[in-house]
Amino acid sequence: MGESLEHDASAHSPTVTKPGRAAILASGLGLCHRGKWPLRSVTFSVDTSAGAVGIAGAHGSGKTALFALLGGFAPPARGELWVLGKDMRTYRGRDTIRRRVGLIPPPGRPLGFTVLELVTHAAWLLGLPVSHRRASVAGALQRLQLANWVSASINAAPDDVALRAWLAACTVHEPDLILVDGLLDGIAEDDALAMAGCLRSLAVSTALLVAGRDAARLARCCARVFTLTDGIADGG
Amino acid sequence: MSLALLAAEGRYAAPIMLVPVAILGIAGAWRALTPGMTGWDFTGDAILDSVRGSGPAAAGLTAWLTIASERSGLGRLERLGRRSAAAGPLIRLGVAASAALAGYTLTAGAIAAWTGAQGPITGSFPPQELAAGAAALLAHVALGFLVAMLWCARCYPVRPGQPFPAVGAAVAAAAVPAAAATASWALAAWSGTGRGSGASLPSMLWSPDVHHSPFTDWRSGLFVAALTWFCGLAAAAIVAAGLILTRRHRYAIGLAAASIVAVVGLGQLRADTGHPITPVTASVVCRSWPLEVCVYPAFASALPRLESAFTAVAAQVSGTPAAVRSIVQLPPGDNASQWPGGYGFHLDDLGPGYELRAESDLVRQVTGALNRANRSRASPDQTHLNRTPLGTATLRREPVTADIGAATIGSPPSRRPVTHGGADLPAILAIR
Repeated sequence: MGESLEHDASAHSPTVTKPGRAAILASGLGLCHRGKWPLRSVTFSVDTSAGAVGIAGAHGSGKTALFALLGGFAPPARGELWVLGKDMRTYRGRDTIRRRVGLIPPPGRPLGFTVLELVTHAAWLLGLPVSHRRASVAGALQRLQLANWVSASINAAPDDVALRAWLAACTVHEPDLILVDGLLDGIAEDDALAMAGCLRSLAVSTALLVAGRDAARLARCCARVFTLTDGIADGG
Repeated sequence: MSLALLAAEGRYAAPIMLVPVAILGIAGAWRALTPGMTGWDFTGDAILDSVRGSGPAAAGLTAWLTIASERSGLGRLERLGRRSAAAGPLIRLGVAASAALAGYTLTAGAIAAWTGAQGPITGSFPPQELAAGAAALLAHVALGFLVAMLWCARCYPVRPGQPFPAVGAAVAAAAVPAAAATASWALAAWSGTGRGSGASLPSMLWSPDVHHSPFTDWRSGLFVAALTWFCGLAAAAIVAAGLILTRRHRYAIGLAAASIVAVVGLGQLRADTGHPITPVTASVVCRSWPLEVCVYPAFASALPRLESAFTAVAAQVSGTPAAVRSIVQLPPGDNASQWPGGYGFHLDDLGPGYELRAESDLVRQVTGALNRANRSRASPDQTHLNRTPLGTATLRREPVTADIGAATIGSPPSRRPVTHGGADLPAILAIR
């Protein structure tokens, strides 16, 4: 597997070689946002083809900032980052990865939407061509076992259905890498178990990183769980 | 265009926006209707005034719906997509604005239908006034949206790593027309500009509050200026929200352009609200038998009852120096010199009892004419007699008490009040 996550104590980032297509490699990674450094210095390498990877950390530890970098939504302020073979320091690399990544933010229940409308709207937001949109939506609903809930209101649906609909919406474009941020936090134990099962099934075919506050919950769906503390990766 | 988003918003947000806007609009317009006046120009004023109630409600509802969407997670989802981060919120804004305009249209339709049911209507429907009202409502919706975006930008950092000063620049740019408006409002309030006229600048800046007079027309260009101001304000708010959402510089250019339009409209509005009205150009409507009575066109429906009321008074003074031959309605503040047999009267609306008010005005003038005639003929001793109370009471067909009669003609006091219907006026006039 070859995962390693270590605290980069030195101020200098070591130069890394271009990793493989299924790998994520970070070296001295840092992110500055509004004058603060939510991510200070992270060095790790992950082979995403070897099962889901969990990143545990308390609120404000830098999980969302790390996923923003991994998803190509922000450039690194310092250090190096390679995702699926693309250099994230370049705009072209980030733009390519943004198309191939499914970043799943903390779940929500959009007002007035049915399950089908939410997934269809997400397909439109993600820029899927009209010709493929219907098939992609149907595929996402099938993968997350939502075929019987298409006309259910998100607000009135059971919690696990709403969570699966959220997951289906964010993965309707069948990304190569799924980044799940906080999906398992703040939900009931039964729902967490159900979602862990869903994530395990997704991890069979897609590289998956799951971030959350509770390492024990992450362990249910992830082959390996690392810890992020105050913007610094210090163990795994 | 995301049809799924349109369907969801149309099902959820549109009724929440439409129903209160329509109800508050109709209530506000009904309250603003001038009593008894059924001209289209009065209807236009009432519809424009309806925004005073429905506009703030629409702004609040837009802000609440926008923040609710953001808090429900939809905003996060939209910012992660390939589309512009502003696409989804702007579609939602479009749905909210459409629903608000639908409520405004319902208001206009209801008031227009009520007006149409009142019978013959004077004037023509004022499209500029209606458009200014719609633009004012849109400006309220856009400002509510901008406030919500500012709130959400504070709650949810849009994209880590992006420079925050863009939000500050958006706020600063959006504040330009608002600051200009506030400064003008303060200046107008201090200098008194617009007071006593049909539309003051402070009221036109945020929620239109116009008071149309039957004797005046709106100055051409007033509502075009208001339309320009509200459109510029709405565009500035929308573009500022887009800038907050996307942090793209092209929105800053649009914001500058919208601010210029708003400031131009504000300048025009300030110039026009200084003298917002012009004397009405329409000629009076007259009825010549049995008495010539002329009124402004908006009062044409009141002619039969006015004619009846005035004729009763005229019959009592027929053949006297105060005889009534013609009566003309005068604009407020206009006390035109009377000509022999000619009188004027003032009437601002057709609220309950309008004919009594008009008759009272005529009686006051006739009484004055009688007194002048008496003074010119009678001896100083006779002139000293106080005939005015009895004469006035009689002309007004009010009960004349014995005290008044005693003071006037020196007759023995009587405890039985004498009610005059006006028929025995010659007996009273015989004291001349």
